[in-house]
Amino acid sequence: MNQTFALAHSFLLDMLRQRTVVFSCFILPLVILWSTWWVTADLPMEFRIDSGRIIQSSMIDIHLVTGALTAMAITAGLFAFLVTAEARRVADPLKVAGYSGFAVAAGPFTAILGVLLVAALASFGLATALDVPQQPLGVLWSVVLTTLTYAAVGALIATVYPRVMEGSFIVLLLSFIDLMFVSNPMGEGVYMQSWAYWLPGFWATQIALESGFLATDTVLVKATALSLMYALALGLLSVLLRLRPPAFLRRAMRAA
Amino acid sequence: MNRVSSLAGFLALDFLRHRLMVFLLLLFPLLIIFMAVQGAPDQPVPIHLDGDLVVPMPAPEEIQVLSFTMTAVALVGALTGFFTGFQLKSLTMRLEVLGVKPWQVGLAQAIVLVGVDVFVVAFAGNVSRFWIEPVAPGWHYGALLLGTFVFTLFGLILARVADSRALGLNVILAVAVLDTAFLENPVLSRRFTEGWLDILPAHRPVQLLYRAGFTGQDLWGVDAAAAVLYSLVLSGILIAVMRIERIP
Repeated sequence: MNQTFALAHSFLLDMLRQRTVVFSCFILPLVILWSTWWVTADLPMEFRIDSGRIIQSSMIDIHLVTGALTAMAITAGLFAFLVTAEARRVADPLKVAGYSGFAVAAGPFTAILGVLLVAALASFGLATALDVPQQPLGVLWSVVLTTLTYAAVGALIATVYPRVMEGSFIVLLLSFIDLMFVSNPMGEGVYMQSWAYWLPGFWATQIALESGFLATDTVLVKATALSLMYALALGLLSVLLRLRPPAFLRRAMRAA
Repeated sequence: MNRVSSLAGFLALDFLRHRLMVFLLLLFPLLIIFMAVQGAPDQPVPIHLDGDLVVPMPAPEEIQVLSFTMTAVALVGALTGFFTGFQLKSLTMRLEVLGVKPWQVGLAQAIVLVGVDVFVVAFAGNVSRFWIEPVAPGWHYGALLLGTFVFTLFGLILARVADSRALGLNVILAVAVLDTAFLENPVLSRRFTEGWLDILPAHRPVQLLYRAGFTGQDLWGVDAAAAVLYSLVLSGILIAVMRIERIP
């Protein structure tokens, strides 16, 4: 455990040393969130959430709530992917230096998670400053869950397919389609379809929508449990694949 | 010229070696356009184009498809430009040692990128026509191509100035999506008619796209010329950035 934290600490310091990391993690999500709110047309929308409750609201407010999730999903997915892919390059020298396989896999992920959770707090702060949701803590929790889940998605993609160009593209594609359309009431034709429930951002978005517009917490427990299970399953799968990579993965790693 | 064409051949082969990337270049526009259709709101809205031209009440689905087709090609153009530019940054030095001139590398890269742009525009433009039959089909593709060129140049400039991939990707995503999918989309934006949008990269190509899609009027007007001018300015900035980089 000490090794994991020592590595996490080193990776954290290395990330914070880079101004571009600070800019991408803290400034850009806020720019995305603010400009989405500033641009969106004031159209009335009606949608339902998993508990069956119907919500009526302006498109601006919906974009504000889901925009915080989208910005964090993209940032978390991309950074977890890039840091994990980068960490794999230094994995062998670290093992030679005496670090365990688990520490080499978990250390960088812990570091990026720390940075991302602070970025999630900043995104939540801006979303709340622009319009106070019904239950601010619920929205904060949904942003944190989205960050966790997409960090796990990014780490898994980096484990399975560590090529930067394709991997980044997959992360962007998945987070964009998931948070902007399928899990979002904006995607009227696909929102709440049965297959959409399997996407990484779906349950966290349900918490955000309920907390943003209603004073109830009917989906909170179920959505939290499912979201955490999703993130945990992806995280465990990443670690497992790192520790015991199957033959096809070893070939992919050599090619990358 | 032989050197440029063989270099372009190598770069194209290197690009095609990333088979998953080529697959994603096809999948990305398909998914984006499909989602645009699914996400179109019910209420029709008028489009107030530059030059006081009003398209009365086109179907929101058609506006969404046009707008998101531009998003798809712009993102693909910018990402391809960014990634190839980023890779070539380190390669250029080594090629120069072998006697290849910087302009030859640039020209070979431009040939490959234009090829990718044309391919993606042809693909996405044809897919979009399942939902909208543009009044002027030729200009429909022309507008998409101009938009893709502008964003490819944007990606190339970013590859030169950004020192991390994550920063570049985030900036591309923020600019391309906000500009094409939101700001220039009359269905989603409350800023669509504001004058300052003129300075944004997608503004003129999107205006041209709507004209070609719904009116067929003023196609040879300012929009096409301004989009070409925008591309030339970005090309100038790219060359200037490359020259500044070479100053020791």
